[in-house]
Amino acid sequence: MRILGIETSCDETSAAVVADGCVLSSAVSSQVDFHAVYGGVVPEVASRQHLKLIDAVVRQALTQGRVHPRELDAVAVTRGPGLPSALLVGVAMAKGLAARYGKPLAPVHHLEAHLYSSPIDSGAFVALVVSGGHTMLIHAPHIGGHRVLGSTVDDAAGEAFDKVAQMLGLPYPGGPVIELQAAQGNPRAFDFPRPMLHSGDWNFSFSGLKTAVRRTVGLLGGDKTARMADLCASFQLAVVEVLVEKTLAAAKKFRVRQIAVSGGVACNGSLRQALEKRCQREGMRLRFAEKKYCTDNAAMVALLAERKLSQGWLPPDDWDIQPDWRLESRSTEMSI
Amino acid sequence: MKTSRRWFAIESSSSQLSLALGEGETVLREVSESGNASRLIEPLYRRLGVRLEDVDFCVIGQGPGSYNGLRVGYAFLKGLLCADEMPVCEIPTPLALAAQAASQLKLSDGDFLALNDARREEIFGAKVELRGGALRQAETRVAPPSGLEQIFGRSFAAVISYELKVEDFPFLAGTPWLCLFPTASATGALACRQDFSRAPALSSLGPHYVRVAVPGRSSA
Repeated sequence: MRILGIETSCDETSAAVVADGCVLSSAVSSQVDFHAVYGGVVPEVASRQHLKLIDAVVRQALTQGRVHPRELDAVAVTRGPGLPSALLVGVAMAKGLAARYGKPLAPVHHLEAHLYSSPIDSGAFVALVVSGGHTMLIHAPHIGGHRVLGSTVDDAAGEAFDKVAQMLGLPYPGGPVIELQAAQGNPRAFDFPRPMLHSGDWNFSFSGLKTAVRRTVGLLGGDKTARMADLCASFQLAVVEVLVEKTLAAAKKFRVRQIAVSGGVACNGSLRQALEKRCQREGMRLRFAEKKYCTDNAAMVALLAERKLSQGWLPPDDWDIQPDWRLESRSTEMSI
Repeated sequence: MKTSRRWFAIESSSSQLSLALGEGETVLREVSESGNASRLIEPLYRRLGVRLEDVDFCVIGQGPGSYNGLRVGYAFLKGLLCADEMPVCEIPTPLALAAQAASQLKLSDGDFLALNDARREEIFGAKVELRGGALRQAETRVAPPSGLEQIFGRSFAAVISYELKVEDFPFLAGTPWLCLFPTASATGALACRQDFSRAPALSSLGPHYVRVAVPGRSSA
């Protein structure tokens, strides 16, 4: 089965071709440079850039995948959640392409695509999906069936990285630069709070941590620059500890031996190391999405659609973008 | 360019989405519907029953108008043509509106003023001149309502707007006021009069946004 995937939910314009579980091509055009000057994603800028780039990106994916649209079995596209005006571009492009060549059009949930972007073994798993827009813990008794345990009640973890970077005068996106600074700092230099670590539920909150960093920066005044590495290391450790502890706690609670991690923040080396260490100690299997598929990409969209279509899923006929689409719990089993 | 060439046109800048198929200045079929362009565009395309293999060029209404509507029209067209090198012609929406007005009023000369709500208490205005049956977009500006008279004057064959009311523009009292939605048929027929033998690449086409993406910034 050959599927073209399209993803435009936020600030990456992406298209990919997959066949029988393999990625034949993956084209991603990042808009980071366009948004860097604003310190975050500006929806109108994102949408205009998607429209400028989308046809070139899709052509690139088709060319590299050596496939003509006629030869596709289906077109898959991110329906939501995401920025409305950004989603519109990918969905309209996909609708045009599918209409022209008479192909089925599969609307895909962005977070579900992230969820299954890790190389998961069969059996139960707990997943941490952590990015600039989402921080979510999910329990899956089997592949295809999942239940959202909790998510962030305010900022997503990646968003907290961006905002702390901004208050420290570091460039956007915050994740990579904070990680770089943190490598030179002492993670115990500042005792930042570990929000909701013992909240008794599976939710997250990073807004208070961000405020604690702001307060500390205010107290440091001119010394902020000298203590930059320590500030970054301490902040990063606080985020990582919360993510690791809650994920491990969920795995233990639901008696699963497999943890899957995906989303842009899953690229963070400190998070990877901490999870590897803990999972090794607890005898759990840890599955990270490949780094190139951690950030938003169309390959994960196409792969999920292929998996579902090959198991008899019939995409709906009449649908539109769904910017606030929640990841619903689902009990249907899906094989890998 | 031969006027008998067959075209397919999309006009998505207003709340009324319209698609048309034509040959030369003759409209063969047109479908339109009010509502959400993102939801309507694919069913309307199917209803129109176009075979793009039989079409010589495509036409798209460039706006200004609804940003999201325009994005849907452009992105859908890019999807249709993603494996083709078919020429695409962009037609400024005020020109199509003026063509519709001229046809309705049976005029071959005169000036038209097309007005759109540009939000933020401003109006987009476009003056279109009709001389001997030929249309030319003379002036486009975004300004507060109070500044329009100074920019465009007050003498027009008609004012065209599908979303504004004459009461809000006292200096235009007495001028014929037409409520017209831009149509794909007018857009396509106008394209036939244009020579776009050196049509730009599809990637370089884009809607007419009346403002930069972020106020205070000149690019993006």
